[in-house]
Amino acid sequence: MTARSPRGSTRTTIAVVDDDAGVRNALHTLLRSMGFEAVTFGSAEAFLAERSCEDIDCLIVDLHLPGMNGVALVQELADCGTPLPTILITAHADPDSLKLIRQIAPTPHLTKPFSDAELSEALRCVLSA
Amino acid sequence: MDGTTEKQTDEERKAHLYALESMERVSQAIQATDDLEPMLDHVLDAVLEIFGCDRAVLGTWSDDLEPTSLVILAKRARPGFAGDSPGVAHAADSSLAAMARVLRTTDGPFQFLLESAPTAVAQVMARFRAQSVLTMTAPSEVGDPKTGYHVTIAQGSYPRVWTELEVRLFQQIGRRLDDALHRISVLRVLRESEARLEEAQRVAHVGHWEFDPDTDGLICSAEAYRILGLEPQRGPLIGGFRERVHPEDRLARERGIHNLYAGASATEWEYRVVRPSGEVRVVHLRGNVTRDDSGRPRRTFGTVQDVTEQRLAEAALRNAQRELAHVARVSTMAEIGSSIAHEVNQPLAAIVMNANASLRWLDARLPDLGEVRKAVQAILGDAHRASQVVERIRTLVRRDAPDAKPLNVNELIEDTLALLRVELARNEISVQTELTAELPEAVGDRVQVQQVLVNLILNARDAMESVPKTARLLTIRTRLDQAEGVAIEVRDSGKGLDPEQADRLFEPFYSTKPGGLGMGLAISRSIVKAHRGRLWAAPSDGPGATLIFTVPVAAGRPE
Repeated sequence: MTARSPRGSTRTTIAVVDDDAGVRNALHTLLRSMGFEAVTFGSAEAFLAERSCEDIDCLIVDLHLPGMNGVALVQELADCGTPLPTILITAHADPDSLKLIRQIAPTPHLTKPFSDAELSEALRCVLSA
Repeated sequence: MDGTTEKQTDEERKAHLYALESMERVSQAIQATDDLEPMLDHVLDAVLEIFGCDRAVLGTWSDDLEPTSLVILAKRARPGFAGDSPGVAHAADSSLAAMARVLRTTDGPFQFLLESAPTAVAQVMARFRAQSVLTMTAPSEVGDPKTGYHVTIAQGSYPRVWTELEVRLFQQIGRRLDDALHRISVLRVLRESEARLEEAQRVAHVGHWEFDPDTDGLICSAEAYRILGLEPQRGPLIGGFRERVHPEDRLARERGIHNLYAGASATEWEYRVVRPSGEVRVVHLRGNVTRDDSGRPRRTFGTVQDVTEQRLAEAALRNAQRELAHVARVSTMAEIGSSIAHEVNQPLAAIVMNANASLRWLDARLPDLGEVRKAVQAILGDAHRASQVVERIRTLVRRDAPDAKPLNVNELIEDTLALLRVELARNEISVQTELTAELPEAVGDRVQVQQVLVNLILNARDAMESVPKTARLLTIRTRLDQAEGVAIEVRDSGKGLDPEQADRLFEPFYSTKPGGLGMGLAISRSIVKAHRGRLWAAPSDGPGATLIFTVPVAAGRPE
């Protein structure tokens, strides 16, 4: 897959927000093996504090985060006028989670564990939108 | 020497000898048997012969009958003088009753001749054709006229005048007979109470036993023989009872007996007995040792109880409790199932992603083995993490028999919080732990103690449902309580408990939650109790409820 940034820079940069270090690091590795730049954050708050959305092409965020959850982060970004193409990931697609996701504009979501093919498809989908 | 005097002395000697022989005969008749009726018949037969009279009767005055009556207990007579049969009660008219009172309270004997007797007596004499009677009431219990036996001998063939010697002999025989009757009645009371004791023992499955360490002889009550699986014996059973002890319990029995002889006071022990039919029973013994002045055991006496049914019921109860605890654990699992799924899926997701990444690095035109190595190492780490989660779940739902082992409580709390991490995060509950370092190891079943912890934490979670998310705080503390062992405190920041709730909290089926079954705390308390610990709701010094439970530390452990 070509990793051309919509912003015209050499590589697409993807932010990963997940409280689970294992998942965070694995996503980082996988995204790099797919030719992306990846930056990781342990919480929504850390992401908001450390990162300017200008540098980010796409956001992959875990639905269940301690503190601000994934959906709240998406809303927060929209409210600040800096919406980002987003993929929600969740470890367990229970009814409560699906209800939470329906609170925001239709957003692709992946249930862990997911393969690189599923991830590619979701990225293709949000980056081309 | 005067011939007449010589003759008299000779006759006196003969009479004296006759009296001695007669007493001997009566004594023999009395001692021949302990059975009342044959004994009385034998004695009265001897009396008939000794006095050469026609009729001998033994009766007792019965005040239970109205009017007061003489009840015939035994009677022997020569042909033609039979009269009334034993068992017949003679109601006394007023004059005879008055006569009877005199007879009963006076140390007789009295003699009556038909022609000179008072009318009331003469009427009775006429009824059985007696021309002369000699009668006495033995004053067995001095001053109590009710208990005396009444003996009468009668002559029907001629108006016999009883000599002084005969009267004295009659009196001696009467007293001897009375003694015998009282001995028999005491014996009878004793036998009845023995029979009652035996019956009570049979009903209660209790027996008593006595053991003589010098002869190795064992004497048991009937029920004790039955309980111990032994043939009832007449005399002591020498040896032979050890074979009935279940082979696996012989050591336990030896230990019990050792303690019995070693200790000063009563000792209890328990073992299984294999009855000759092969049936196995659990017996519980208590014993006491009697010692001589030098302290040497002389005799041991004790009870034995068949506690098989009790032990079976206890085992069934334990099983039911274990089943219930297991069901409770499984339902806890169902409750936190999605959190658990999340917990397992995290490392699995990481593994899949790292594996995909590895393949990509390998498939590249210039494979990047350094990256592959890093990814594979990450896979190993995550696989290990996944197996730990699975192990935690497995421990939570294990169905093993409770097994008390040294337990690191702080570690158990960390493990449990790891298991519930997602569940708590999902409910946006912050967790704070204040675990005392260098806590001694507690003794308990890991699975069960963890279940109590899970129950308390999930209760805390529910208690904070109505509290703003920012104010949801779960605090877990451990400390060492000198008296009770390790104390584990679970505090929430919910709305707390009112006193009425605090009282009822541990009752089965008491729940403050809409969908709650109300078994969590009841089960928790029974688990803690089985560990000899305590679970209680502490008075709150702030918002929320605090529940504390203790688990004892190993005995003899330095604190």
